[in-house]
Amino acid sequence: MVGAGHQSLAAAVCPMTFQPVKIAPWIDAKQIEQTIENTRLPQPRKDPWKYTSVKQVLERLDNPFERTDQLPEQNGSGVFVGDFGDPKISSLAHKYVNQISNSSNNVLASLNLLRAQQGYAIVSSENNDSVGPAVQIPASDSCERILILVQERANLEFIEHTSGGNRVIECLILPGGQLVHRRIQPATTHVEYNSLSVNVMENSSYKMTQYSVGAQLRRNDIVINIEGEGARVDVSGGWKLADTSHLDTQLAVNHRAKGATSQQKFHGVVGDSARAIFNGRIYIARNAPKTDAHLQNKNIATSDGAAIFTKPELEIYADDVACSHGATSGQLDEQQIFYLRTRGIPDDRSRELILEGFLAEIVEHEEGARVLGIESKGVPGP
Amino acid sequence: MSLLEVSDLHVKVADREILNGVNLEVNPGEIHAIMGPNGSGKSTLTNTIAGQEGYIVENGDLRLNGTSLVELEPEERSYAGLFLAFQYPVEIPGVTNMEFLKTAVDSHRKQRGETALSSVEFIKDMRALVTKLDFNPEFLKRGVNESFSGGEKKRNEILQMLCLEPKVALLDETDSGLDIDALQVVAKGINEFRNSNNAVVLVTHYQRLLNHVVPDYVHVLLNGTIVKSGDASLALDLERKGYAWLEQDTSP
Amino acid sequence: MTNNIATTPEELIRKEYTAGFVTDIETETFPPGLSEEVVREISRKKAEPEWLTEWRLDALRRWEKMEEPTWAHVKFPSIDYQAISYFAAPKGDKPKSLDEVDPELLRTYEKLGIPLHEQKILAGVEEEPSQPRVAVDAVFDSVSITTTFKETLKEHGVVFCSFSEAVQSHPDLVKKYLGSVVPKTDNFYAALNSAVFSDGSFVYVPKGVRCPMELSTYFRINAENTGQFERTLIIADEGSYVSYLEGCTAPMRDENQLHAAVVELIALDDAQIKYSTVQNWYPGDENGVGGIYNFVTKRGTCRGARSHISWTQVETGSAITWKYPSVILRGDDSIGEFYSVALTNNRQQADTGTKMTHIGRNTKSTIVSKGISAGHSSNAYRGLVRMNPGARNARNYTQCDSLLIGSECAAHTFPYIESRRQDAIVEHEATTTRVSDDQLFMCRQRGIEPEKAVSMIVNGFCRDVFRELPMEFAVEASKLLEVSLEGAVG
Repeated sequence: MVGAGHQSLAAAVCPMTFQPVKIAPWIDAKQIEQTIENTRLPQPRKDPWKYTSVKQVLERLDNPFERTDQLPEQNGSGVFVGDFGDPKISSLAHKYVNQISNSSNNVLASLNLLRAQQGYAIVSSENNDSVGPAVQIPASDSCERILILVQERANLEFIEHTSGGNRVIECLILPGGQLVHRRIQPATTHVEYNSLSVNVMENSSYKMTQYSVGAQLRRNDIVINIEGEGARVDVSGGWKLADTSHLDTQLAVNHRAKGATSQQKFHGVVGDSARAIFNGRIYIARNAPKTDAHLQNKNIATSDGAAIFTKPELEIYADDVACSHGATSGQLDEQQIFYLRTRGIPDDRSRELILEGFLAEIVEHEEGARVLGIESKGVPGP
Repeated sequence: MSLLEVSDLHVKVADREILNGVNLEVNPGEIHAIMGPNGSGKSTLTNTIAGQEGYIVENGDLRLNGTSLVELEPEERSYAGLFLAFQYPVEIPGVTNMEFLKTAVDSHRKQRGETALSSVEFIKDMRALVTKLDFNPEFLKRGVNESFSGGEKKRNEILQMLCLEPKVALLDETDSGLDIDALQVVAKGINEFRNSNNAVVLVTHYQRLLNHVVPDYVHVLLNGTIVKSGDASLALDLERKGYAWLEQDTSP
Repeated sequence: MTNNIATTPEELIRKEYTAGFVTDIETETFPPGLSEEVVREISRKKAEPEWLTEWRLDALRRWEKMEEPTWAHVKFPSIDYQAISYFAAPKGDKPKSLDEVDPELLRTYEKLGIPLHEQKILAGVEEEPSQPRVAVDAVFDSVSITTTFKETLKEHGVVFCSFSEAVQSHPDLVKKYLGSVVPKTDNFYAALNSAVFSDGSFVYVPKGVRCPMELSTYFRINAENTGQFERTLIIADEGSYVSYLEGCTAPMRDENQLHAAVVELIALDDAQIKYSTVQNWYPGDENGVGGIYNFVTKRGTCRGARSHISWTQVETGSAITWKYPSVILRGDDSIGEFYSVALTNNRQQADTGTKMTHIGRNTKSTIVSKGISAGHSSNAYRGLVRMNPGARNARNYTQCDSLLIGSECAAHTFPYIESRRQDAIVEHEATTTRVSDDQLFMCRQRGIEPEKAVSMIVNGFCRDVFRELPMEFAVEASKLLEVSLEGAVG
């Protein structure tokens, strides 16, 4: 039986105007519905949906997604890309899909699995010491499900392009593994929802950078669970928003093992009537002493219609930790502008330069610079 | 009776033996310098004497004025007359230097059965001391080592030493990171402190402080044991020749 | 007020609760339960005008439709609001002078160290000459016992009396400002308070007057199974200044008792209100049995240009604290401040912080919050800084630090920042640390015993807040701060 909560959700969402394809035989719709029923549904206008309409996101799930069959290209050795139906992937996928995201109780991730038009896994081989070219996850406005598995002591890098779709990614980094994740979010007129869950095991590392520009509504849910001692997590990103675009990034780093480090650093520029929402949470469990965790979010507004909502959170249950967070919101520094002008740089160009420099602080990747529009402007990279 | 007596001291840190049989005898009125390269066990020796947690005395003894220190808490060693000037003095934000010093001095007075000094008296004493040492009086109002420069932190250690009047002062790399002016101020403080009843042990790996504070004895600590002792001229030899020649000496 | 309030961190952490005695006095207590009839009866007892009775009843009806907030980071069994008594007062008429006050009550305040005898202070016989004069309103359960220095204050035009008295003597002011800062339906507990509020203090400082002495209210819960619902209203007219302090204690009881107060501050043009709280309600025992549920709504509005409201709180008591003293910065160039030390120990839970709502131009706010968690306690800072579209050049600076003592406690930080104004600047910083082994070792090497060292380190951690406490209360804070030492170094 489907619970009342799901019914109301179903009323808003489930009368689907399209027939979902079953992307793999092992997906058990009944069980997923049960999971949804047992999970607390998102409450409109309450955390974590305080500033973004959950209804719009749910409605998006109801609208037809284009079916794509495009799999990322498989370059070089040491990595395998396969459809969930692929016999080489099937058992792994069955084992992990919806397990990693479930640990964060995300109903939307479960719904995604019911509607997914495509599902595939990217798996590194064990101990692949050389990093091949990065795997490209192409832009899509489809409903997709992706599993990324980094085997023990393996390396993997992927570049993800999002574009108005509904994508749920689950990553598992086994002991000693290293995953590099670049996320490029160019402009889109759609409502876009991304959910990313990463489990980081002993002595492994996860590095992610996210570059975002405008969307009608773009929501990025990111949950990183540190499950092994000595793991390292480094997440950074930047956004440049104009017009009426709306970007909501909800990021949680959960320290559940001792002696791990995490860094979060996000810079944003918000103009016109755009809205930027950032929630960065550091959670440290009682069994995670010797944790070192820091978060920084800086915002610059370039117009009075711009709105910035930021909430850096700390939730700490262990005493032997070093934690800090900071958040700022403000405008361009007039002193800096003045300084540049005294050197003969016109006012407009001075402002541009300073904003570029502000974003360049988090840019580590050419494509990131390009999407933020700060490449080839003579701003040196880091 | 010697003031400080270290006999056959064996110390383990995190299950590793760092000191293996250190012997040292310091008498009233003497200045000793302990020199040695990085990792020779110098800081282990000072931390062990002061009673830092995690420094396990496996064998041997430490005596101050005839009393064994080994079983004593750090504050009890302090009351016994031991002072350690830290290599890296920590910050205590919001606690003013004055407050910290008075709390320390009052604790010592209490141990001696004396009443606490009045604030007015104490402030007067401190101001006099600070002036004598050419410190900025503002120093007393700032948080303990809070955003102090490296040199200021080391001066602050000297100030505390003069304030507590210990019998034995161990100075752990107090000269490192000091410019020439700060070095002279520190040296002035040490010379101010010393008298025929107390003793100073300087731990250092350069001899430049020793130009200003001339030691009676110089000991070389190498691989957890004292391999050579001599007078002030030994420090000059070390400056010229380094430690390698001694290393060869100790090899069987 | 020297004996009842813990004055050093070590006392704060390991103190015996010295204010935990019960005063044996005949009390008139309403039977438990809440209904229109109970509200009418409270209003009747206080001989209130009809508009106020209706105001209360309206609040009650609205409260009945509201739900308790669940967003705070605290856990407690649900409260049976029908099991609480909503009025308790010492029997007999309100005494007209101190001579008529029951000696048992006088002894209570004496034990708590609250000066109710103004003449002694005036004559300077028993008190040190340097001791500042403090006017006290003493609230015992649901009623005010006495208010000192009323006459002296009256000479300056300052009104300082119990809320019930103000309803009679200054009905226009009460009617104009009651609920103007904290509306009846602001939240569940404020609505409850609006229906059943008992006594509290009322202050009016006229135009251009600098209140000649500190004003303070001392709240004491004594009766069993009663809630305390005081209401405080402070109005600072144009160009005036007032500094106000409240203290609170309660007996040690195994049952939890509810305290749901509302405080409203109004500062007109160029006025300044400094509001300090030393909250020491009974925190429960080390196993979390008993203690006060402190669910309080405190808000000030900087209504006038260049007005200034600052909240300073030292929160050490209560089983649960749910409290967010806030400022609405409506007037141009107005200033809001929040300085807080919240210490939790044993099984205490605190969810406390502030809201700064910037509406006017060039408004400034400062938030300094120091949370100390020990034992099995949980301590959360929750804050909101909101820059409205009209808040040209508004500024906020927030510093929010947590100190953990022991590995079983928890510290949280939930700061909301909402900016809709380009030239508004918001800066928020937070850290979480513990007393480090190195700090402790250095202190011990200098001869300072570990307990003293921890207390000193915690004290240093809180210094930025302690120095905001009014100097007039230096007597209380002296051990906290070693003010004499620091002040003399100047």
